[in-house]
Parts: sequence; structure tokens; C-alpha cells
Amino acid sequence: MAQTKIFLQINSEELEVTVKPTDTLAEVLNEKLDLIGTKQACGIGECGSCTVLMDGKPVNSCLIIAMDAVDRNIVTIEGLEREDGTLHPIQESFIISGAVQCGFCIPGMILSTKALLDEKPMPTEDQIRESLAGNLCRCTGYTKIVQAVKDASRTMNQGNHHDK
Amino acid sequence: MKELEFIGKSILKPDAREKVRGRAVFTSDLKLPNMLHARILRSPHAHAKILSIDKRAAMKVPGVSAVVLGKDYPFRFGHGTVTDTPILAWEKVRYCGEPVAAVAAVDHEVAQKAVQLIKVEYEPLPAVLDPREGVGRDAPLVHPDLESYTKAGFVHTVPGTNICHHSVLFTGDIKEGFKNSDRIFDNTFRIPSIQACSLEAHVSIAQVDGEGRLTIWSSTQAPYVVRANICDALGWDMSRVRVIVPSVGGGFGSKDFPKLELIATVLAFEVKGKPVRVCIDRDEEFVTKVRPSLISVLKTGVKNDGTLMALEAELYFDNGAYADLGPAITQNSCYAVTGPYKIPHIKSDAYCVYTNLPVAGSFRGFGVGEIAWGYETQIDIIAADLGIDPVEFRLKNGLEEGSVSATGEIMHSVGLKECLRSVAFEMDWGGGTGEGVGHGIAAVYKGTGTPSASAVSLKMNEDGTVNLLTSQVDMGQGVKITLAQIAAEVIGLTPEAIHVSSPDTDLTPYERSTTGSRATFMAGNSTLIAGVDLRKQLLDLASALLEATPEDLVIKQGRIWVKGSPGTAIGVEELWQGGYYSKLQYPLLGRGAYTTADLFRPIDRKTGRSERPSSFWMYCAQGAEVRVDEDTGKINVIRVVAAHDVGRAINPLNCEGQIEGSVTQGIGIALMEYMVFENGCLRNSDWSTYKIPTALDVPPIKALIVEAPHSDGPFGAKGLGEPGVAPTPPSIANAVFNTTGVRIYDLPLTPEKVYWALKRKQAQRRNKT
Repeated sequence: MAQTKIFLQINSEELEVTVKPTDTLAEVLNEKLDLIGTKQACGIGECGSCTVLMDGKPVNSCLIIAMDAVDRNIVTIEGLEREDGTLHPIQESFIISGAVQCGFCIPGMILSTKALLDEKPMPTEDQIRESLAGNLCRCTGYTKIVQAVKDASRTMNQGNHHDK
Repeated sequence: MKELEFIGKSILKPDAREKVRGRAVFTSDLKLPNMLHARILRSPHAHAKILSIDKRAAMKVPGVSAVVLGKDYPFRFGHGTVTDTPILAWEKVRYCGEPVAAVAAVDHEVAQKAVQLIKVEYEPLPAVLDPREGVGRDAPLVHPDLESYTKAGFVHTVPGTNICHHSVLFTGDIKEGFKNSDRIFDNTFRIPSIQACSLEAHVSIAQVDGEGRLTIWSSTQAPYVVRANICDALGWDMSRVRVIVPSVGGGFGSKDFPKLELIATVLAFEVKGKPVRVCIDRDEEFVTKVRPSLISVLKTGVKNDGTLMALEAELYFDNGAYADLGPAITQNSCYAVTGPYKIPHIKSDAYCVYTNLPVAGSFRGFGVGEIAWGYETQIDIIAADLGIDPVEFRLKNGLEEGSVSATGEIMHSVGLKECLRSVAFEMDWGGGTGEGVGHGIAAVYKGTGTPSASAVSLKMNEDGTVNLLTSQVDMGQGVKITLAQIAAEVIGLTPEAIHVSSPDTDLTPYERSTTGSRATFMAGNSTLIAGVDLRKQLLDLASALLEATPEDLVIKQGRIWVKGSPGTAIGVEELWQGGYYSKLQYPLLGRGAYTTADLFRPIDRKTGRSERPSSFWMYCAQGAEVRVDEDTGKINVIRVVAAHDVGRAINPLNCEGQIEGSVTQGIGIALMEYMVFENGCLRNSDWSTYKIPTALDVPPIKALIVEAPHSDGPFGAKGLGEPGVAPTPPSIANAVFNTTGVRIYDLPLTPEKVYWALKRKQAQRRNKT
């Protein structure tokens, strides 16, 4: 199958990668760009583990054809922390709340959270659960994840925090 | 009693950081040089003879390195249970989805293309698809050669049948028991097969190096079990095999037995030193390992005042096509089917039945979830019929410290009643619910696989930090921080100074597995022993440096001083730097090993009794508050209260995580999870057709920690990981009964089932009037 060189905007960087027409964004991230944080648990868009932000919106990257991601602004979990390694408040909050168990759903869960809080800085619990309904977790029961989102929202709205 | 610094503290897990950054390395994240990718050809039939396999077209596909068939490596594995499982099927396939051939190729796509070109001719055979039919003498045999397999000592197969294992329990005199009962309740309960649904599917990589040593990287809960099975099947020395466990994305019991490792191994043999990765899709994961379906026939005798007198139980576990750990699950269920109650007369027969369905084995609870559905519904039926409050009924019959168990064990560390009372209090039980709201309760007990062994090493570094070497697998439950907390407490360091390893069988000492809620108890005890050993070494060295006897020294937070003279304090690292280490010239290595073999009492073959079949027992009670929409049958779980006796909570935050997670799985099992088979082939093998709870499906869960310390546990701790999944379904069903009067006997409680049960009840009421 013919391979094409494309440029993808990932985590504020322009990356060149050679892809087949059938390559999904998830596959390209994992296998060609060594961005392993985007996890594939089902490969068919049913679990949200492969969630990335595309122009700020959460998408299942296993359902995005890589070539369709050209000219879109992609944020993966690796792009959330600052250059100096300082974690995003959402990441900190997940750690402190005990919301991380096996970790496989976590990158997707955190990015869905970011998309939510960017749109609704002070969501209700119902809004949080609705936003995260597309991110399956089998370990935590979501209880501490929801708490982490609430805590992150409070931290981020304290006025003196700038996130990416 | 000494004040504890780190035990009972919710110290955060160090590995959470790499996980929120997306940097944790799971097995499928590993990119090894020249790595090949494998795909598996699977049987489309539940039961069939393999007449021929033609792999020639597959071999010709450019980029294919190897195509392996069952007959190329005709070995069976099943160490510690029944050695009945072929690496790849030959002669016969026994379940739909069974691996028949495997291809290693330059990439996933080429491998898949080659797999599709392998031509297999099958002759379908009649299939066994129900365990009760399977036990019949006329049923087709899944394993005609059953008698020729090697079996572990406790396994009792029934020749000429599909009974892989049969366990019994005889306590008291069952006839007397029923004779002395005022009422007898006889009911059959069914629970379907469910799947663990770990977000990370099974995945394994194998590589044979220049020396002929095999290295396996695998998402497993039991690296030593993997190694033992490979060596047993192939006749290899254990020193020739190394099993490494990267981060694991969930297991819940499904990863406690080899699955893909042997397929990866035989492919690795074929490809001259290149690593081979076997990665499967989600639909393949669904048929890799399931929790057995169970039919429970329970006949319970009771006095009018609610005293339980007798239980006759027949349990039919549908174990699927191969044994896996089914016999042990069946055995443990046989004697635990009483529930946490005193029942003087018991006759229990539990059957582990081969069927032509996917292989069943461990899932969180190792039988307890399967049997608690039946026994806790039965208890509730009895209480309701006798007009006794469900909590009072359970308190009346419940085990307590010193009670004699079903098998004749004198029970110790029994937090059952505190669990029941805590739940009842939190729910304001008996205080009246709102209109259309019902309360239900259930209680469960669970032991742990006994006997088993654990070892931990504490390697002190020259700067006073420590590497704790363990083969426990931290899948997110937090075993690493638990062990660091225990080690820090015992030695006198801080948890931050202790780095806990991941398993590597070349380097980390023996651990039976991370299963059975055993990690805190077993590895906690070995850590405690290793810590005491290391502490003694430190004190011996320090006593020379500080010119005091070891008894006069204090170690705290990595500093050592003479009692009463804090000015003399030195850092632990100074023992090295001070030159005294090099004088004495021995490495600081704490050694700890712990086994439950000495406290275990074997189960009597004839009677099924034992004075100590399990090193410890966990107890829990859960209450559910529900509302049922009578127009749709939909159950809305308003909240769940879960009280768990953990002996001692080493890390309360992580305990809550286990309770919340297991209750959520229980909600899934109660309301929405079941595998649907057609002619033995799974029809719902993805998450749009096999639903697991999302964030929208989980109500507030109140986790209550109860502590009934165990004298053999580290700081009194027992375990927690499993039991939470078991009481949730019966507590919800009991709440449904409480509010609607409708009793359901088969899980899950789908809206259709509830709706039709409501309609039948309404019809019955109309017929009566």
C-alpha cells in the first residue's frame, strides 16, 4: 500500500511521519512517533483509552485516519505537562485523589477531563460523569476519578493558575 | 503499644506520576530490536476434529518469518492443576476461539494476512454447552483422554465423564439437619459467564537469545507460574527461563495463568533470536479467559426462629474447555458455599465441568462471587419468609471469633458483625425508605489460596536507600507502596527511601502470584521478616560505630542514635561512608521468606473437612439502596454502602480504591454483564454488546473499613482485593425484592427480566383476587 509523508501538529510540534492511508492516528502515535501514552484497549472507539484532543475536542484516535489529522491541533497526554516537567493541575489532582490504579485508562480520562474543564470550568457531578462516560475504567469505579476532576476544577479556578 | 509512623497512613503511590504522564511502560509499549508481530488463527467451532491444516500459502506471504501449528509443538501445560492445555490445538478443537495456528511476521498486518490464508478442514462434533448436561454419562466427552493427564494431588476427576474435578463436604448429619428443621427452602440460582475486561488485554513477548535462554515479557499476575508452566511443558531447567513483568493494565484474576506466553515461546523458537510479540484484539481477549458460569442448587433447612440447621448444595461450574485453575475454584467454593454463617449440617457437592466453551478460571473472588449470588439470595428468601429482618437474620447466624466453620476451623479475626452493623447504621436500616425505594443487604466471606509462599529481599544501597525486590505485581492496587510502608516501619526508614521493584524472575525472589487477595498478607509478612533482618544488620554495624549495644540504639527515618542521646545521630548511609562498612565487608541484604504451609491443614479427601483450609478469611457486608422503574424494569441504584474487614488497613486510601472498584464490577455483574453464546460461539465480544459500567452507571459508594486484626497478618492485616465484587449483586437483588416483592434467581437483573417478573407478580395478584 502506498505510503505518504505527512506533517502532524502534535503537542505544539510539527512532526513528519510516513503513513499508509489505512493507518489510524492511534497507531501512528504509538508505533511511528513513540508516543505510547495513548492506549489502545479496544481499537474500535468503544472505550476512550485512545482519547486525544483534536482542536480541543476529545476524540477516539483509533477512529481517526492519520491523514485526516493533518492541519489539526493534536494534544496527547505527553503534551499536558510543561516543558520543565511540571504537571498539569489535572494530573496532580489525579495523583492526590488516589484516582490512578492500573493507569491504562488514565491518559484518555485526563484528556477528556481537560476538554470538559476547558469548556465548563466548574462542572457539576452529573456533567463530569456525562463527560467521562466515554472513558471506561475497570479498576477504580470512577469514584476517585470524579473527585479528582472536582478538585482540579477548584484548583484551576483559584485564579492564579495558567495552564496550556 | 508503639505508635506507628507509616502503617495506617494514606501515602500516595509513587507510580501514579508516570501513569498520569503516559510514561508507564506496558508490555505492548515495548519496542525491541527486530521484533516480529504475531497473529493467531482461531477455531470457528465449539468442538471439532482437525482433519488437515495447509499452511503453504501463509508461508509464502512476504514478510512472514514463521507459521506454527499445534502438532509442531505437541505439548500440554497446566502445572499445579490438570495438564490438559495444548499450546496450539492439534487433533481436536474444544472451544470456539481456541488457538489453532500462529504466524510471526514483520508487522501486524502481514501476520494477519498470512493467518487468513491458513486452510483448516474441520469435522464438527457434538458439543457440550451446559454444565448440568455435561455431567451426564451420555454427554459427548470434551477430554476422552482425561485419565492420561497429569493432575495435582487435590484434583479428583471422574473417569469417563466431563467432570474435571469433584469436591465434597460432609459436616454433621444432613438427614438429621433437615429432620430438625421447621422449614426447608429449595432453590436454584444461575449466574452467567462474565469477562474480566481489563483495559489492557493479554499480551506477551518471547525471545530466545544466543545461549538458548528464553526471556518472556508478559502482562501477567504470576510470573513464577508462567515460568513453571513453560519449564514443565517443555522439560526445561527453570534457570533457562526469565519472566519480566512490565506495568500491567488490570488483571482481576484473568492473568494468573499462562495464556499467550507459550504461543510466543514456540514462535520465538522458530525465528532465530528475534523477539516475537503476541498481541490480541479485544474480541480475542473476551474468549481468552472467562469467569465460570454456575448453577447452584441450594436446599436450606432452618428453624422457625431463624436458626440455620442444614445446607445441601450442588454446584455445577461451567469450566469451559480446559481446567486452568477451575478445580481449585470448585474446591474452595464447595466449602465456602455456606456463606459466613454457622450451619451445623452440610452436604456439598461441587463439580468443575468441562464444556466446549471458552476456558474459565479466576476472576476476582475465585468462586465467591459465583456462589454468593445463590447463598445470599437464599438467606434473604428465608428471612423474608420467616418474617425476620435480613440484618438480624444474618447477625443471628453469623460467624464470630471462635465460631466453628463449615469445615471445622475455629475462626479467628472475624469482623463480620461489625461489617453488618456498620452498613445497617450508615443506611439507617429499618428507619424507613422513601416511596418506591428499597434496601437490600448481603454478606460474604472469602479465604485465600493456601498453602503458598512469598519471599522478599531488601537490598540496601550505599547511600542508605533501599531496593525492595519482590515478584508481586502492582496492577494499580498499590502493593508497592504497601510493602514500602511496611519495610519503612520495621527498619526505621521512610517509604520514599524504598524503591519497590517490578517482577523479574532472574532477580526478584519467588512469589506464588498476585492473586487471592494475598499480597499484603504474604509479601507483607516476608517484607516484615526481611526488614527485621536488615534492621539487625544495621544495628550491628551501628553499634560498632556508635559504641553502644544494638539494644540501646534507635533507628527512625533513616537516622540512628543512642537512646536518650539524639546528638549522637548518624544517617544510615554513614555506616557505609564511615568506613565501617568496608571494614566489615559484607553487603546489607535483608532476607525474608514466609509460607503458610505450616499453618495449613489439608482438606480431607473423603469428608472435605479441614481445620485450616485458609490462612485468613476476609469478611464484608454491603447494602444497596435502589429504586425500580416498574414501567421499564430498570433498576436505579441510588447508593451502595460497603463495609470490609481488612484486619488492618495499611493504606486506607488504597483500601477505598479497592472497595469502590470491586463494588463497581459487582454493579456491572448485577445489572448488565453476561456472555451470550450461540452454538458455543460468543456473540457479544466488544464493549457495545457486553456492557461494563461507565461513570454514569455508578452511584455514590460509601466505603467503610473495619479492622479485626489477624494474629498472623503483618500488623494484623489480611486482604481486600477480591470480596467486594460478591455481595453487590445479591444486595441489589434483595433491595429489588424489598421494594417490589419480586425475586429474581438468575443474573443479571436486566430491565427485561425485572419487567416480566413484575408483570407475572401482578398477574398472580390478580388471579388471587
